[in-house]
Amino acid sequence: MADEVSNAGDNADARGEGGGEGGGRGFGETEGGMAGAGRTAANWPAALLVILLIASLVFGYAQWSARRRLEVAVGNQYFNSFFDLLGNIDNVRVALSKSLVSGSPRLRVGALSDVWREASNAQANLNSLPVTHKVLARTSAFLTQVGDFAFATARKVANQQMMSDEDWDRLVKMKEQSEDLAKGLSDMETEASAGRVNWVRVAEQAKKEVPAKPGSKSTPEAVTDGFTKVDESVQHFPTLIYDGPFSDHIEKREPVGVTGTAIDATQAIEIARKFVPFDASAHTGKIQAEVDSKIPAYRVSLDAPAKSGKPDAVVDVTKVGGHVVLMNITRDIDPKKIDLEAAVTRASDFLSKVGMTSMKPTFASEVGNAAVIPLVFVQNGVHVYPDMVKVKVAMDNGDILSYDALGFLTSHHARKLPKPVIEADEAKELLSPALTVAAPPRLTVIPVETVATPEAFCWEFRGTSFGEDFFVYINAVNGTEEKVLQLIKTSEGSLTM
Amino acid sequence: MSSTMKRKLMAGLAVLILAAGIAVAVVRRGDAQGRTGDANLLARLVSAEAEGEPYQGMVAVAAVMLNRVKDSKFPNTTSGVVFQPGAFESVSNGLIWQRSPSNQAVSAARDALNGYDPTYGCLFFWNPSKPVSGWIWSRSIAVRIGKHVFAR
Repeated sequence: MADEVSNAGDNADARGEGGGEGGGRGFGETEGGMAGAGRTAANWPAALLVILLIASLVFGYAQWSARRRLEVAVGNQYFNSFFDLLGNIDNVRVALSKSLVSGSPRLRVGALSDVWREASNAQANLNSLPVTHKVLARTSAFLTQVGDFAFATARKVANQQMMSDEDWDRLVKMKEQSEDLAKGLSDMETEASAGRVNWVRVAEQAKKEVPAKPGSKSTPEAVTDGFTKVDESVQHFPTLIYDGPFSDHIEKREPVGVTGTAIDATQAIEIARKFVPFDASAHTGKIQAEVDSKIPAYRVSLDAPAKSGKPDAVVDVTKVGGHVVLMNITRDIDPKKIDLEAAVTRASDFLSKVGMTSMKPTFASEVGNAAVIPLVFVQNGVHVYPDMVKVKVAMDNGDILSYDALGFLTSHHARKLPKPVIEADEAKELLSPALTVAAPPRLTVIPVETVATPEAFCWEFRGTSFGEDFFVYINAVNGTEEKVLQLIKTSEGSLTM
Repeated sequence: MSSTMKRKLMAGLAVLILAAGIAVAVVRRGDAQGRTGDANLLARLVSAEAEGEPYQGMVAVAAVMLNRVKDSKFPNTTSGVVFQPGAFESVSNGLIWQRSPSNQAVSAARDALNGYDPTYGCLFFWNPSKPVSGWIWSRSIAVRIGKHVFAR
């Protein structure tokens, strides 16, 4: 590279003429001979223009062909997703039919697992197509729920439980719906197979968000229109209630921990002022916003007076009962000076100060010079995990930085805890032989995704297996293994209590 | 200046430029490796979409991403949500790769991953002073933070 450049320079020096730079010098040297100079002067700008024109044409063509290659490459990716999607949806349909026809639990579980896998792939492929979210939202939701429902049903069948009539009806409906989906996509498949879909133009059109209008085929509008039709065919699908994280019943759960009488804005500001972990009597308190969610709240901002050296805070106070849901104090954190144990003590002290009693820390982890500590409600020695509060502590001086009681306020209520039917020793027999128990078992309430109850009463076993830490939860009433959680170690420190 | 000296100088300069380039590349790689997976991707998106917003507004943008992962209508992975075609302008125009996330953005992403959600389950956010498509206003707005409104 360097050699070439310096060679070119040498050549120009030696010749003194020809080329752009050399031409200028030549003109100066031949100043005396007017006739010869005139011819050169008339020609060199024209020559330069021709060279520039050719150069720009070459450059333009190179750019155009590079762009085309990229467009084709991007388009091919979209084609790949689209054809994969068609295959996935066809497989979902076939696997759903098989799950209905299979007489043995063994084959039924296999078919339902196929539904789960194919639906999940279909959903991923669908969402990588360059069509706006609005057009695909229902189809996407349908595919997620089909997979989720198939997984939940497979688990049920594997548990030697019978499929209910409702489960059966749902599978039939899902099969019909997936047939409709496949049919809706087949028109587009014809166009796509003929290579008449320009995905790059579809993407550009999606960006403009022009409303899709039924029109000529193989236009971007036609593609969006095709998906709109497919999505509309899904829209009448009934609400799905089953045991799974994407079930509609999860969405419908109402908070039970927000109790008390309505408060007004002035009261909210006073509650916030008293709640923050420093003296905020001189802070300017005002309602920054009103949060319109399942837990309606006032968002109070507390601004420190200038040069007070105190931080600002934002506190969300519920409109009913005046409970603090969230608090956040923003400031930079200096290098850490206190350890995790000290941070946990700070968090516990703060909760007692604000009147949250019977809260026990369970875990602590370090995140960038701060400690995040979840504390759970303990009732008669039983750790109630859904009633959780998270506190963030600065590890430079132990100040409280944030408080999050959304979990607590969503689920806290007076519970009647049963007596364990299965004793700790019996529960221990049910554990995997690969788990070495590392701590005495304790009774807990954990959140589960079932329709009947959102919570399960369990024995918690902490143990290790192949050098990794696990928590295993055995239902203390019926002995079901409800959950296995792995403790993921981060590069920063953590503490389990 | 003799031509050999010039040549040596040019070669020296080229080596210097090359070395600087490699050094920059190494530093940038190291930076990216320091933070992992989802947190890094979230921090980049927060940096590109909410730089200059109040801290709560940054956490809120990261929280919206995570709420989308949990919602059936959106992709079920963080990268699926971030790279969903047309979902975020800063992803479409490559802005998210143009600068390293600020410390504040990284911290906001971590807070959101720890469950802090100042939007209470919102799935959309937009800047009402910029042109947005009309259908987005049909969503129910939960709260406004800084320049953004957040909705379900």
